[in-house]
Formats: sequence, structure tokens, C-alpha cells
Amino acid sequence: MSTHRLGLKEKLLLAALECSKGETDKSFTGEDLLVEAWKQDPQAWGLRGYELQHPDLEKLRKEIDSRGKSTGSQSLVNNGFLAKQEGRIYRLTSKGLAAAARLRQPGKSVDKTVQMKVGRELHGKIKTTLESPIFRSWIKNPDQPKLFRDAGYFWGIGPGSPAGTVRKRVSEVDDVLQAAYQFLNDRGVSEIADARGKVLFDRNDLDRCSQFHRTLKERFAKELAILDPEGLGSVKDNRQLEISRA
Amino acid sequence: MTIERVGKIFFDDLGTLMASTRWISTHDEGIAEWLKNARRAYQVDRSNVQEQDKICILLLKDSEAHGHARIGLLDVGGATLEDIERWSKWNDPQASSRGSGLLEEETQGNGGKAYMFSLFTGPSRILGIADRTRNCQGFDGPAQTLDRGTPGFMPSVAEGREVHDVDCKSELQRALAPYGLEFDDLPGDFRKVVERRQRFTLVEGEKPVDSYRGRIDAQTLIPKVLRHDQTMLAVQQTKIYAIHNGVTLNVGKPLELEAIHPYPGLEGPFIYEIPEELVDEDGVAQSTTQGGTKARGRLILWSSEHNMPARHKVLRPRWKLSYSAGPQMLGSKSISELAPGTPGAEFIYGQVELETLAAYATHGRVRPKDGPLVQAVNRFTTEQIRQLAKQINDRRRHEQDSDELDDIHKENKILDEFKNKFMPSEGLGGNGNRGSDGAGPRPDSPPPPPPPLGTIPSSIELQWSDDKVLRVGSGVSIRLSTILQARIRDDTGRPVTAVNLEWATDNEQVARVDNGILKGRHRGSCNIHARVVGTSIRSTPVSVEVWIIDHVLLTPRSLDILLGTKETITAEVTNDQGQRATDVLLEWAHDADDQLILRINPFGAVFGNRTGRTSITAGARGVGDEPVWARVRVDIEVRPNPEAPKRGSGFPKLLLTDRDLDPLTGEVRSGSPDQATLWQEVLDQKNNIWWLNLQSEDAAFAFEKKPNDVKFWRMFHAQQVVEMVVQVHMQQEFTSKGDDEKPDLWLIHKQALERNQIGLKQGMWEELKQYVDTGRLLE
Repeated sequence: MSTHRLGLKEKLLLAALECSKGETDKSFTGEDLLVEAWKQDPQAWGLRGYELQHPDLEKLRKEIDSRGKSTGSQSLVNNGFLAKQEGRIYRLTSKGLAAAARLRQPGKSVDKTVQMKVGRELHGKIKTTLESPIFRSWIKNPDQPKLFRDAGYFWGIGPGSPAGTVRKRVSEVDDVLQAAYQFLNDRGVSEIADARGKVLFDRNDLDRCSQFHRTLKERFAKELAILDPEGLGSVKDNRQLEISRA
Repeated sequence: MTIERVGKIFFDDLGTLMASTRWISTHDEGIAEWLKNARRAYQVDRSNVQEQDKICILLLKDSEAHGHARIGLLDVGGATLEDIERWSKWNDPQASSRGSGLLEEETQGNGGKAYMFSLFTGPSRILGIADRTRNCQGFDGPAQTLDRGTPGFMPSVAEGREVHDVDCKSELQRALAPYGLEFDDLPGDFRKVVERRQRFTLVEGEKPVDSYRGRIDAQTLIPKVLRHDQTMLAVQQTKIYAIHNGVTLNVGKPLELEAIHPYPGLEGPFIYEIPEELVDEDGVAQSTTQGGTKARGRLILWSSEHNMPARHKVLRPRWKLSYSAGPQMLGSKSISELAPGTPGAEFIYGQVELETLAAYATHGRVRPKDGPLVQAVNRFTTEQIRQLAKQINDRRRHEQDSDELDDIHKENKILDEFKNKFMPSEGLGGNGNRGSDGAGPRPDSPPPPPPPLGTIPSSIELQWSDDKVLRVGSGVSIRLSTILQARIRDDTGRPVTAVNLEWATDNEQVARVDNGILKGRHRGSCNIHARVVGTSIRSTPVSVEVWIIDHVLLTPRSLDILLGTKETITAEVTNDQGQRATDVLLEWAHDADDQLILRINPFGAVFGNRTGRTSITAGARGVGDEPVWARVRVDIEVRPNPEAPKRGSGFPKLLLTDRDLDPLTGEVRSGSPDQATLWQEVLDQKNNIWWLNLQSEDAAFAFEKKPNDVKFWRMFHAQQVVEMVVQVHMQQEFTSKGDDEKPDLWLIHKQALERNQIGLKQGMWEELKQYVDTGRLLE
């Protein structure tokens, strides 16, 4: 597979897909990632003048996290494609997995095993939302939840949570939904089934989860703004979702 | 890497011999191998026996003063020196085919020999007469030794190898002598073939192991041989006689498998072509034709008139699915393994014929080895078995006259009241509540005051708030008495019982009410009310909305339920106008074969009734009357509950299936031919209910008799009431021992009792019906 037409971030995502074997709970080091990326494209990831002999760690750092000055806010970690666990240990997020799967063969139906893994991964995340007691109480009574405490329970944040955590947790839900919509759109289907034909999730599930999440963000916008004054803002996120749904 | 070998491969002789022979452990397996070899020897590439001449005789002789017991198989093939020498080689898969290339049933190269080596303690041999030449090799020596496993000419090379100018008939006469037989004692058609061909082969062994005092139980052995998977082709293509102690069995006719009469109305056979691609358990597609290079296979299912596992001797061994690949038999699997717990599957057996399964043959060919293709074929087979089983099960239900049902319903209420006098714990006049002081006798407590009852109805109360709307999916039927729970009171507020209610709607286009059951029809609203029949007493109206469903979302998506406990599924319904609600009553369904795993009520409460897995969906009618079900189902696993279920308070009630309502679901409990006559599930125990299962064989028979012989029914009914009281007493005794209490003892006992009742009753009652009718037992 040629990766020459892709940008550096996309190439890195593909390398992360290899390192993780398509599993979002499998972690890998920055070095693993760099070596994999360099094997796939030595010209892109090699040390200048020694492209075929040595990979360049600095190039990786620029793309992968906020240390790169010029690309910090657009890095793979900040954009939710990779999650940093500790030190230089990373894992692929659901969003990252879905995006990487799309890159395997742009515009075509991609590798079946990876597709299955993406479907399963997204199913797991969507199921978490659908089975949450907060979601269940909301579908029974749309006036629920009335307290930020309940919404916080859904997101996994509280009044003392750091701004970065708040932003990450809230955007994670949108990322998953966005990836799931994209997954359906790419395949031109309205539901995803496993290998045996059992339906895992459908567009109605995503619509309902999106409405629920939008409601939470709008209802508790003030509290979120206090916890994360420099947050990306729910309005922008929602717009992104609307585009994905279309 | 390089390697320099300095010798041949080494095997330990005795170890290898034992490993090659230990798979034969019974005489039926061994004789099946002999029959398979005889059939193979008759083929065109070997002794080329004409169709009408394919015949053999199983010889059985008990021990007596003059000789040991012996078993032999006599055929008309006529083994030559080449045959005998090929026979003497262990583990030669080409022993039968000799590399002829003929697509035929393969033998294993040691099946018949392994039998002769392992299951006889005296000499065993193969004797062949062909072209006036005698050859004979065999085994002799102490059991399980290398000496015994080393074949040799019998009685010597001079007299057992290529002995020319022998007379076929005299040789056969000599070979038959130890069986107490003469040539003329053999069946006529066999004699004619031998006289014409001047050939025969005898394989035999002396002193068979496991025979009690040298006696061979031919009555048991022969059916086992005939039912063996490896005998199937031999039985189909060869006339097999059996002679035991000089008597030709089966009144002198060739042996045949007992005919299995098909299930009436579903005679079959049901033949299904196996698709070219099937999905295995991991969801991976498997080609059944090796990419189109092999022929497509087929599945054949047959039905049986009788419950096969319940007929231990005759039908149980044939309750299986056999696998064959071309002429190779690969073994079989029990139907219970393929479709466990599927009601009706007890009446089905079958065969898979698929060439590509040849790669799944195992040593001994008892069953095909597991693998993706076998898994995929099994999945396909299971699906077909389930569908056929459902048809059979539907036919097994006994239609019951509703007037008669009403009649026995009234009687049952009386008997149910009556039996309370004999219930444990609280004694005469008690209320059935369990004591807390153990099982010992207690002084009678004073009877509770009877509830004050009114006589003249004055009002109807509904357990449904006035401002609440009853939302129902289009096409969904609900029992109003369960949902709205009407109570009738007199003018002083006392409850009035035994009053007939009727329900009415003000718009039949929206919802129709029939016999207390409301069915949503078209989108819209209407009001319903209850009225005391023959009066103007009416309940307050209840507002009903009928929804046309667009989609249903169920949550949670997976549930673990402990046996005897309840969980709730929320069903969010979106209608065709985009409105949403979670209180719309829907149809609920789950896909387990055993529908008793769960009980589901219209509100989505799910009760775990038996351990197992299933998945639930809910739905109603959508636009254009098309059924709309939740696309994403809820996976359920009912797990064993470490806490034994506690029985409900009050006296246990005896209810009738097919007539009384199940309090959990609010629907009439259907009877089942596969459940005990006195039927109690875990959840029934919690509710303190016993069911008289009118679909069980004995109850259905008694019910059938009732119109002409009411005493017969009453006798049966009374017996069941007594049985129930006895069981309640036993249950009490087993489960009320304070610190020494071991409730599992009762459960184990009850399960064993029911298992036997279910297993035995169907078979026994088929014959007892005639006994009851005529006073005569069947032969």
C-alpha cells in the first residue's frame, strides 16, 4: 500500500493502526510508532541526510503532541486521534481507529478485519452512552437530568476536574459519534452488523445519542464554561456533528 | 538448516500396536468394521460380486462343554493370498482399495484386525477359499502382547498358505463345525451363491471378551451393530443374516434396521441443498464445495412418530445426525448437541452428505472432527432442525374445547380451595403463610377473618390514573384486565366478586375490544371504559392512543439476569409523526428455542426463568401495516442464582394452562407437551403457583375423555391435586430446616423427578391410553 499521497499525520495514524493491531486498548511507545512510520515511509520519517538509516524522533514529536510549536493545537493527541497514557506511551482512540481505517484505502471498502474492529469499537462506545442511567432517564423524561452532577456523572467529570480533562471527556463523546456517522456514510448504510449479521448499532441510535449529548451541553453550558473557560465550545462541536450526519 | 539422518523412523512396536487398536472397545464396533470390510471386498475392483449375490452371515455361538464361544462373519468374497497378506499389515489405509482409485468407502487399515486382536482372548483368524486354494492367517497368544499382534499362517505355513486343490464346500463344512452348523443349515440364497462362486471368506474369533459365562447377548448386540454408523452402507447394500447357536435370527430373513414411522402429516424426508457458502461460528464464510471443485451437498432430515430420546432402546441410539463424505461415513452427533432444548427436535434425525467433509474424518470415525466447515454445516443444520421442530411442535398441541375448559376451570377452583385444608405449615384453617419456626408442628392459628364482600355492584375502580394515556402500538393486543386492573365495589366500598365485566371503545377504527382484549388498529385516540354486564355501571373512561411505529430503540443492549429475578428494558418508540415515548405497549419476542427462558410483560419487565441466552426485540405495526421491530436487540443471559428462590406467601395455587392467566405476563399460560403435568417454573415458585399442564400427554388424554366419561377426568384431576399437595409437603420438609436447610436437595430431587416424568410419560402414555380404553396392554 502506498502512503506517499498522504500527509504526515495520516501516515502516523496508519502506523498507529499497525502498532495497535486495530485495538484501542493496546498501547505502544512513541518509538514503536516512529519506527513503524519510518518503515512505511523512510523518506518522510528519516533523519535528514540519513533517511534510510535512521528515523527522526523530532518529526514524530511535532506531529504527535503539543510540543510541536507550529502544530501543537492540531496534533494527533489534541485532536483526539491518539490518547497519551503516560510518558511516551500512546493508544489509538475510537476516533483514531475509525480515521485510520478510512485511510487504508481511501474511497474504497477497506480491509474487512479492520472494518470489523472499527464497528465493534464504535459499538462499544455507543452502547456505553445508550446504557447510561442518565440517558435512560432522559428518554423517559426529557427534562432530566436537571442537575449538573448527573451530567457530570455521564461525562466522568466533577466540579474539581481540570479543564483539559473536561474538554477531553466531552469531546470524546462527540468524536465517537462523528466517527460513527462517518463510518456509516462511508459505507452507505444505515446500520452496522457484526460478521453474523447481528445489528450492533444504527443511525437512529446515533441520532438519539447526538440529541442527548447536545441537550446536555446546552443545558449545562454555563457549568462547562466555568470548568473549562478556554474550551473549544459546544457550538463548533455541534456544527461538526451536523456536517457528519449529513 | 541441514540434517543427516542415520536410521529409519523408530516406533515402539507394542506401544504403536496398542495405540492403533484401543479405539475398538465393543463388539458392535468390531463387527461393524468386519461388515464394512466385507462390503468393500465385494466391489468391482476386488472380488466383483454381483448385486444379487452380496450376502453375508454373522455367526454367533455361545460357549458349551465342547467349545468356546465364538463370533464370525462369513461372506462370499473369497480372500486370496494377496488379500490375506494385505490383511496382515497393520495401519495400511490402502488395504481395501489396493490403490485402484475407485471412489469407495475407505477402511482404516486396522479396524477388523484391531477387533480380532483386542476383543478375543482365543485365536482369531481370516480364512479364505478362492479358486480351490486355501489361505488362512490369524492372531494367537496372550492378550495385549506383541506376540498376539503378530499375524501368522494358521495352523502353519504349509497348511495355511496357498494350499491348492481344496474343495470349497468341504472347507466351509469344516469351518462351520465349531458353530454347530452344517452347510445345509445356511440360508438357501447364501448356499446357492457359494456353490456357484466356489469361494468364501470367514473372519472369526474365539472367546470374545465381556461375554458373561461365554454367552453372547445377540438380542442386544445385533441392533447395535445395525445402528452403527459404519454399518450403514453394508446394511443398505448387503443381505446380512445372523445365526445364533444354530438358529437363524429374524425368522430366517435378512436383518434390517427397524423402520422408524414418520411423524403423521410430516412424513418427509426433508431434503435441503447445502448452500455453496456457509458462515461458521466466527462469522467467516466457508465454501462447502472447495470453491466449486466438489459437488454440492445435501441435508436430509426425517421425522419420527415417537419421541426418540424417550424410547431408550430402539430410537434413542438413532436420534442423531450422521455425516458422510461420498461413500465415507464420518460418524455422527446427537441431535441434542445440535439443537439443545429445541421443543420438537426429539422427533427428528438426519444425515449430512457433503464431499468436502472428507478432510474431517477421524480415527475410528465416531464423529467428524471439529473445524470451521463442520461448524458452518452444523449451524445450517441446526436452523433446518429448528424449523422442522417448530412444525412438529405446533402439531403436537392438543386442541381443546373451550366449553370443556370453562367447565374444568370451575372444578379446578373448587379443588384448589379444597386442597388448602391439607397444606403444610399452618394446618387446618390457616392461611398458608409460612411459619418462621421451622418445620415442626405448630398449634393451629385462628383462621383469618374472611374479607368482607359486597353483593351489589355499585362502581368500577381502575388502577390507572385518570390523566394517564394508555399508549398502544398499532396491531398490538393487550389484556385490559391485566393492564387496568378493574375492581368492582358496592356502595359501601366492599369488593364484589364474580361479576362479569365488558369493555367498550368509542372508536372501533382506532382500537377494537374483544373479550377484554384491546387491539390497536389505526393511528388516533379513543376512550375505553368497563361496564358491569346488564347494568349501567361504568368505569371512568381511559384515554387510548394508538401509535404507528417508525422505529424502536431498546436500552440497555445487554442484560444479565439472575434466575428468578427481574430486570426492565426501556423501549423508546418513535412514531410516524416523530413523537417519542417510552410507555407505548408493544409486542415482545425473544429468539431462544426454549421460550421458557424468559417471561416478558407488556411493559418490558423481563423475568429470568431458566438459565440460558437469548435476545429480545419489541415492535408493532408501522406505516402501511408493515411490522416494525427494534433493529438492535437486547442480548440476555439468565445466570444461575446463588440464592434459592423463596416461595411466595399464602397457599399455593393450582392453575390451568391454556385457561388461567400467568400473573407475570398477564397472558394465558400455554401448556407444553414437554413439561411435567404438574408444572412449576422458578418464577411460579416465587409466585406460589402450580400449573396443571393440559398439554402433557396424560392430561390431554384425560381431557379428551371428559365429554364421554367425566369420572375419568375427575379421577385424573383429583390425583393431580393430591400429587401437588404431596409435593408441597415434601418441598416444605426439604426447605424448612432452619440452619440445616439444604434447599438444593429439594431442587435436585424435583428436577430428577420431572426429568423422569417427562422422559417416561410420553412413551408410557402412548400405550397406557389403549390400556385405559380397552383394559388390555399392548404387546
